[in-house]
Amino acid sequence: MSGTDILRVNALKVHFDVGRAPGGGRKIVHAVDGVDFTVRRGSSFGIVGESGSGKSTIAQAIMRLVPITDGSVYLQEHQISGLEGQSLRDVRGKFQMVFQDPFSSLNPRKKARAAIREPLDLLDIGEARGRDGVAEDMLTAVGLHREAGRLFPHQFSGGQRQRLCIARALASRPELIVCDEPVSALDVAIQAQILNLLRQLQADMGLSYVFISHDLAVVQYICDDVAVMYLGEFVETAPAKSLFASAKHPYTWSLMSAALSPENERGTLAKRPLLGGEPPSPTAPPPGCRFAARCPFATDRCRAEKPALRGFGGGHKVACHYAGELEPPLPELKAA
Amino acid sequence: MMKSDPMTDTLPPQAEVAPPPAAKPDHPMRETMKIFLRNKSAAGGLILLLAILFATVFGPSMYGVDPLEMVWVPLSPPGDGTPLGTDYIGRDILAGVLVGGRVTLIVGAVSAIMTIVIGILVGAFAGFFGGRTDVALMKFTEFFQVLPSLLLAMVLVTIFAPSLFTIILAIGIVGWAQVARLTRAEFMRIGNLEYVKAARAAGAGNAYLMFRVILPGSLPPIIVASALVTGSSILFEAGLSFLGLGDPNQLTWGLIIGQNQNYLLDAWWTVTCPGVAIFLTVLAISLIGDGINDALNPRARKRA
Amino acid sequence: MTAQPFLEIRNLTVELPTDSGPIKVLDDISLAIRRGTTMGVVGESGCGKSMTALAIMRLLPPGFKITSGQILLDGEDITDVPDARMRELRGNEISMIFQEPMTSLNPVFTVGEQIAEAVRQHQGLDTGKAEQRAIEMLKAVQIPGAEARLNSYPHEFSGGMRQRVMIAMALACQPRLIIADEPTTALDVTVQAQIFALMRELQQETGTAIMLITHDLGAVAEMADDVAVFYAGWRIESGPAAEILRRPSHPYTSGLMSCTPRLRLGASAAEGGAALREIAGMVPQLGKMPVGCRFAPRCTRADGYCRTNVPKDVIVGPQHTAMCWKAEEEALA
Repeated sequence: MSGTDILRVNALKVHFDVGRAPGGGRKIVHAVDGVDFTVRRGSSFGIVGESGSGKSTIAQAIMRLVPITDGSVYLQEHQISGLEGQSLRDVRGKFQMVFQDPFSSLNPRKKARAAIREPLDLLDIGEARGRDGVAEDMLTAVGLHREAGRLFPHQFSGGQRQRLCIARALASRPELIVCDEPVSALDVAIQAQILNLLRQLQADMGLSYVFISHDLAVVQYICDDVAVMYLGEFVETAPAKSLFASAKHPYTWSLMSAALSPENERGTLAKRPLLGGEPPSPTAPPPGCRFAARCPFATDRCRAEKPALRGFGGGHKVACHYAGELEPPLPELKAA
Repeated sequence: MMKSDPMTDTLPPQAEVAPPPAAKPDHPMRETMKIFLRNKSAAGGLILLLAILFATVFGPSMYGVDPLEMVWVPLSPPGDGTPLGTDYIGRDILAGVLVGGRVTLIVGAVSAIMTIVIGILVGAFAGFFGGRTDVALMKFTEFFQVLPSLLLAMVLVTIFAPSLFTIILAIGIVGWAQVARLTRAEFMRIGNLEYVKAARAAGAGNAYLMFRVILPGSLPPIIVASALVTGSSILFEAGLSFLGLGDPNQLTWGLIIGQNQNYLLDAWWTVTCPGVAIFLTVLAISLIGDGINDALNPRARKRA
Repeated sequence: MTAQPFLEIRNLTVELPTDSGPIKVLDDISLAIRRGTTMGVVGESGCGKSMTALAIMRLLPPGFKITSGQILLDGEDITDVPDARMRELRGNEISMIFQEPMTSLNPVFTVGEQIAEAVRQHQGLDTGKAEQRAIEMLKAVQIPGAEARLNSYPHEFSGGMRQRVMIAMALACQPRLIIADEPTTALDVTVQAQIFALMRELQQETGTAIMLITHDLGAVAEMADDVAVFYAGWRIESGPAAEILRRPSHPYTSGLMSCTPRLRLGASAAEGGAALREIAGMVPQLGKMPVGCRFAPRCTRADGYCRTNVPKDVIVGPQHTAMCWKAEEEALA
């Protein structure tokens, strides 16, 4: 791994056994089916996709919250996918997580200060006596009052709770934070506060983020590199600027066409080519391109032969047989 | 450092975002306590139970009559020489009720604790690990649930000779299945909440997750259930004693009723007095259980 | 435009009695929805937008009471009609679509039974006709294989399909107003786009009015003719959607506009993109409302006068009103 990379994920697969299949054998959900990516130190790597695409499973696999079926995850020199027990705990402090729902991700029985110092207690980081002080420093770092540490989670608003969760993730001085939809449960006004806080903490502390979201606009605001995920696989991955300037995969286009904006004219969506249908089941992914069933450009080749990620220069990779040949449906993308 | 941030030009210093620190942290338990005590029937139940405890702990020495001694004419009614009358061999009923309460309450409490501990352990492992562990433990639990409990307890007590220990053991063994089911359901529900994942991501191991993270969250319904279990344990013990399967060396309310059952029609006080004692105790415990339930149930909490 | 609006809310106040006196959950709300148009109702959680919908449906949670004001449905004040009349109105005149399509369908009946039941109850059709109607409705919401899906249970549908079923149920009795409370919040963006397209199409066919409750200004731009912005139990701005989204008068509305991240595609993606503005602080708690303007503590333009005096709803443009002292000054200038 080169010195500038903080996280490297190789051919990661996470499959879940969900019981007997009707025709005999087991029913296997291919939640994540072979993804590769690296996160540069101090940068944010965004993963966008719809529900069921497997984006949250990647987050949980990195955090070792779900069993990894195949592949490896390296945090700097540590192969965290192979660690167990104490040796895993020894490196846990370096990577932490912020969850989607600030209401269910805090233990209702723990005061804010105890919640923030919990990782330090569990991982035995630093002097026990100094941990309350660390917790209070973290509270101020996320824009809360030091004294707020004496309160219980239910005494905070949603936005403040998410600040608490961030403070907790920061306590062990991690280098990488995995953020799983950290703003999607929040009101718009609060969402902006949290996004700006995440950006500012990154600048101040040199943090790296894996940032999971379903919202392209939010990902564009936060991330340096982006992967678009569909049914367990990356269909397009590129530096953010390149992706939003010249996306090449039909699925990425359909996400972009479906995005709403306050500036849009009334009925804008009706004029855009919209994707029909819904993703097929991840238990029995189709043999060819997984997007073929919904893709307006799909041919017999797409249904039979699986496209690999191909490079288009500048780190822009697309998994589509016809990438670069197709006409994007959005005028903005054509110009670029 | 936030103030100098150019991007947040509409922002006052972030520290003002924090709520003003409350004078006293509002602990959830403290609030529960307040709601509990505001509930009249629950507070009444608590007072009643405290009175019963006081009477059984200090009553015998204050009253000073030996409950096993023949002190007066057999089967004399209340007020005629003794406050609550005497039984068929002339023993003082009041003394019996006061002393018998000790053993009854101890049997109730200890067997309830046993029931709850076994139930929580089985339920916690089943709910936390799921899969095959869950299937195996739940089959085991079902086995105990389908057995007729009084019959099982009778068989156990008859096999192992009726002593206080075997009676407690019998009540514990037949009662834990319900608690186990409840605990398992709570563990499954809470185990799926994000704060449990968050704790794991922060480095928590299985034991910590089970007993420090999930268990405290699942306690409210278990506490309510244990109040009910205590009540039914007392009834169970009384039932066994009444059937003559109690420890003959230990005076309990059930034993007094059992020994005097033949005189029910001629001397109602011999059976009624310990009966009322059982009734009041179980009532007090049920009222407390209901009160705890209301206090812990968020829907009952009126918050704007 | 001059015709009487289909639904008109006049000075509606909803209170919740508490130990420390009544709390006004909705305070003097007025809004009007014209026939066949869509009214977007926007605001943050707890601002009273869903409460307004529940007040219209007369489904307020226990304890909440309408203490003053009128809700006129086609000229009839429905705040105090008998329950029987209200049941007639729900379903026939007004129906509601909820956020979570899974929990709002009954899991033990097939979707066909549920749609047919609604039609039977409200329109008195016999069983055969009701089933026919159910098939028509499933076709109308573009569920493939409608006849076959009639006998499916809700859990056999995906989230998007379930929301289509909800819309089919809502439309089955040809209501003249549909209240949609965050109908796409639980759905994926591509499915959201499908549902919005469907709602617009059906509206053009049936001429029903829609009250779209949402937190997303993008959804308002896509769907709404008019918009009402709610904040802390007040309706602080209302008017034509195009006008308000282009020239918001209330600082809260413009704040919401500037804190919504925008997708920048093509050439503009290469530029760095401006940092998001924030609205500082948070919504005041019910029962701890500021004395003057409720938005004043978070407002960059507020002065001493704003903090002590409750603003009036003033006209700032054609059909465009705002509750803001500063907007009033500007309108007069």
